[in-house]
Amino acid sequence: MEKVYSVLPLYTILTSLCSVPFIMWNAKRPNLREGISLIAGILKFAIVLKMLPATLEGKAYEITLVELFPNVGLSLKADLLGCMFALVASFLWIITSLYSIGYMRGLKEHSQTRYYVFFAIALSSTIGVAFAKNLLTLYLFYEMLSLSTYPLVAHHQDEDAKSSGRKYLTYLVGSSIGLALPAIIWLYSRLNTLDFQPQGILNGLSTYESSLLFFMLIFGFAKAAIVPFHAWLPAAMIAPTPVSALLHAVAVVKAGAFSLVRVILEIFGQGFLAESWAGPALYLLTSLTILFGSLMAMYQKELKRILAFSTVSQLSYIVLGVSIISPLAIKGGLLHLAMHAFGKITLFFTAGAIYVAFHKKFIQEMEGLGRQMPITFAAFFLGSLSIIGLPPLGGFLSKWNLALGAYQGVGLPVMGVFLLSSLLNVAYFMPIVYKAFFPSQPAKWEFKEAPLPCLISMIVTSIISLILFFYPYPFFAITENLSKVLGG
Amino acid sequence: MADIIGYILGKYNYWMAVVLMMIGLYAMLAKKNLIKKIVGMNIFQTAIILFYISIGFKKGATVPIIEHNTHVIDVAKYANPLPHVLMLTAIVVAVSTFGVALALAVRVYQEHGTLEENEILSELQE
Amino acid sequence: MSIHLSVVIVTFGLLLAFVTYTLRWIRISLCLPFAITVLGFLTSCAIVLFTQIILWGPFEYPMGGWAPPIGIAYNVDHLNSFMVLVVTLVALVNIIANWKGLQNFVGDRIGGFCALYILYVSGLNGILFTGDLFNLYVLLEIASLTGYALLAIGDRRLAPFASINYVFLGTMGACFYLLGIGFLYIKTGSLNMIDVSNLIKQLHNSPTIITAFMFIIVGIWIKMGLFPFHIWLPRAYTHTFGPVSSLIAPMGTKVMAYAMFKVVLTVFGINFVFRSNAFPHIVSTLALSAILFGSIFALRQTHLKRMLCFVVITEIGYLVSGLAIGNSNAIKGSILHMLNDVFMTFCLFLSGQAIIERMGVNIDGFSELFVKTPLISAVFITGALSVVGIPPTCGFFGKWYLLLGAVEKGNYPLFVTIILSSLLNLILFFKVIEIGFYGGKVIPTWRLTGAPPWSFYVGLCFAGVSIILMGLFTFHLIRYVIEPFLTPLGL
Repeated sequence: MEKVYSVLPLYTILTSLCSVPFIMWNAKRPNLREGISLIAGILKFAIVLKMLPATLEGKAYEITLVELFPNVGLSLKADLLGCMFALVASFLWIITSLYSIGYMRGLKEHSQTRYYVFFAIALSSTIGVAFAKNLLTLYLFYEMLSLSTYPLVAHHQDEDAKSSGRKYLTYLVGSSIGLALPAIIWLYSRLNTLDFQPQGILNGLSTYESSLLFFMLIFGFAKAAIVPFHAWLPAAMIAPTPVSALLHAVAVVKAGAFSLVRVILEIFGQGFLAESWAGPALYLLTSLTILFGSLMAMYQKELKRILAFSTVSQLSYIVLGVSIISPLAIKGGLLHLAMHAFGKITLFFTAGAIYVAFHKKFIQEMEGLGRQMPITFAAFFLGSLSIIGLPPLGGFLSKWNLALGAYQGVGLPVMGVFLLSSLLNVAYFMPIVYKAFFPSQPAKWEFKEAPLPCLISMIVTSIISLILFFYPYPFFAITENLSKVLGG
Repeated sequence: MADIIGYILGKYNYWMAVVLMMIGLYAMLAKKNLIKKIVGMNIFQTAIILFYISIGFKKGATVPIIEHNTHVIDVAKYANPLPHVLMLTAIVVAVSTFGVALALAVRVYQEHGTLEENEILSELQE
Repeated sequence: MSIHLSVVIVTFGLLLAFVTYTLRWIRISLCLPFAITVLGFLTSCAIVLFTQIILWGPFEYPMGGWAPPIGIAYNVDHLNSFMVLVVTLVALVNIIANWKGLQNFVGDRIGGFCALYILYVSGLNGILFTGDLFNLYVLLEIASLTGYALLAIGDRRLAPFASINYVFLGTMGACFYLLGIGFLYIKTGSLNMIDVSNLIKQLHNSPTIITAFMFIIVGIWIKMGLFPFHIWLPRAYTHTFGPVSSLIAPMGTKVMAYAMFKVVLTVFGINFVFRSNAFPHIVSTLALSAILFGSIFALRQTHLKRMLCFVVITEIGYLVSGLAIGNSNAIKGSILHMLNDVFMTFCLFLSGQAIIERMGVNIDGFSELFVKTPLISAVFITGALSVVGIPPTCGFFGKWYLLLGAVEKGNYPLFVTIILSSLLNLILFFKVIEIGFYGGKVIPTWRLTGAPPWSFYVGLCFAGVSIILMGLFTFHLIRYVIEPFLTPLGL
């Protein structure tokens, strides 16, 4: 990989961090404050776009800010994988900022300045995770992300927020300090380096040791919500919906999945997975998570909790995809990173829109609501199709590649898991849409929709999910390249 | 047997230091009056001072002052001044500590009206 | 000129302290500014000295021209010149930050307070520089005595009694140290550290030397506040006056930790310590207990300062655990953590004191903490994150090296304990955050109105920024400050 020394990755992180003082300064001027958020988001997206062409050719922008330990420092590397994640995150931040304007003003929420400030910091941390060159930098930004999202999750500051916030931090920071940090230190003491290399950096470690470390890292990065470390995700639904939308559909959970992708492909390498029992154990674990998430979603009554368990399940698609030894599976897993983001964020946007317009959270209350919020439920329909994985939505492409790759790499059982999960997704998404438009009691067609910014955001993300089926090219090219480089 | 007893009794200076230290420690721990505790602390320090001085003893040695008309100096004839000098410093430290502790005891007395530790503690619990 | 800087720092400090006191008879309002000038002068001398050491290497300064082992020498090297810089700088920032508060509280006695303050700092500087065992005792006592006097200021009811209890324990510690030196002197006839270390090499099996070591190390541990000798620490530091606790808590125990490292590593040598299996096990157990005890007991406290005292006890456990593990990385981690801990403790105590002035001492009454004291609580949280060990704050890096050393040596109990205590500290500070965020059980009493004076903001910003800077410059710290100290010792 050709290295280019450049400050651009640093600038990407700094755009939102530097906007924080401006946001705080304009606490009394909401329009200016939210405008600054939007501008910072657009700037960030622009810088990532600027770096993208070179990374597609195989170059990487690197910068080492400060060396911390021998051979390991606070280093950033904007390579293709990182750029892809950063692209999705920064683009969706712009959309979510727009959505937040509608949502927070519609509900007249308190402490909006604090919300925008920590949102900006959380986004910087996400980009930091995306551009981390070694495990230490990844860990640093990962922790920063957990801590900066806490005030967002606990925004409502009531009893529910207190207990959910506690669960959130316990699972995330507890696992990262308790499991991930020891594993990182152990790796450093044996290998003397923590950089991400395309074929992994394991060298001279016994299988027992490597497997132990592998699973410590898998569970230590609990943001990827692998069972049994998934419980924080439904608990975090107590947050305002834009927080759930961006953070728990795009930033936080994807940072977790992304960290695991880096660990699996660039620390341990697929060779390790092929040779040891860690590979099959991981397949089992992630398949269990996929099925568990889908099954639990069927029993939930609250819309956001359904979406939360669905996310738990979908994240393991990504982790399972990159661990199967087949280029199609890796391509599918990475593609799913992007497709799921667009699809899930649409679904969360609709959940929030329903709450703003009608203050309803439970699915049994949503019968006939489609006749009053047709746009919202149309977007919901498109988003759920993407998550289920049906054409003509982008989610179909990633699921197709995953299923095919699973068949090639492992065999029928894992492919069966993917297909079964899709069926279960149908079982809990479709009834919601159907009942919304065709309720058992007759309902009128009365138009009372969510605020305009919310509507625009929803429409944009659902249309993008649709477009991605027909023109998946930025992501297709990216994932093709990556599967060649990273695959065994 | 007599050997061992002679050996033990020969080190009586160390034993004295130990005994004094234990007396001081006992006073610090068991006595309730603050002044007695402070005095115990001083006894503890004094024990160490005596210990040092005792190890500086040299049989038949004279004061370590060189006179004008001596040309040949037989080091073995002079006592080692260093332990004594060190202990002068230590005595100063002990006296200063004593002073500070007494000043603090005065302050405690002004505040609580008593110097008995148990009474002070019970007053603080309220 | 600059050869004498090390002596200048200590002796001018001692002399100018008395000059500060005499100023009260000329004009009392001059005392505090003069004290600040003196501390500024000492800090600049320390900066020049540290640069000189980096450029030209360490040196030995014989007092009065008498070469060791007959004379007393100051051994100035990278680590202690840096520590002197840290000590004087933190003392300076502390007194600047508390300018207004001091004038209001101490009133007419400001001359005496300033004199004691500068004497304490000079005593600490002397402990750091000296290369003579008995000189260390003397300066230790200077620092301790002024410390006892300073700690007695504060809560009229509780502080003097707490201080007098500290007098007893502290004096016992110093006496043990003196006794240990006595045994060393009997056997080697010398008091100079380097000389003694050369002479001891042939005497390793002598029971006198082992006894000497035991007495010295126990004496230092008592003054350092290692479990189970920590009893004086919570009492002494809790009830005292704000500026005093943010002076003594960061530095008192850490300078004693430096003395421990110096004596154990320079005089006795790491091989002596690890010759028998008993010592590392004992130290390991003590360190482990200190860490766990501090973390667990801190959870039970409702008084903010008392809670911070138990955090200090935990930190001391970390310092000793490096010695217990004994390999290069672990000792590097301990020394790094010692340096970082000065700033962490300073940050916590400074912001903690401001929080107490505004919201009372009871943690349960900290409702709306972040709304009422935004900047102060932000700095407090930075200090808290550093104690937990979240990068890029400095606390993380010391723990990294300690854990690295533990993995390399295979000392898994300490490894697990350090991780566990990080989690316990997270729970501890999270409790404060939760009460600040959601409200506590006690009705808050907003006591002091108005923002702190501008000088306090200077102190707060210094505290917060220094934690992150110390973290980011870890590599340079290790390379230029710690490794030059450890490499000649074979580590």
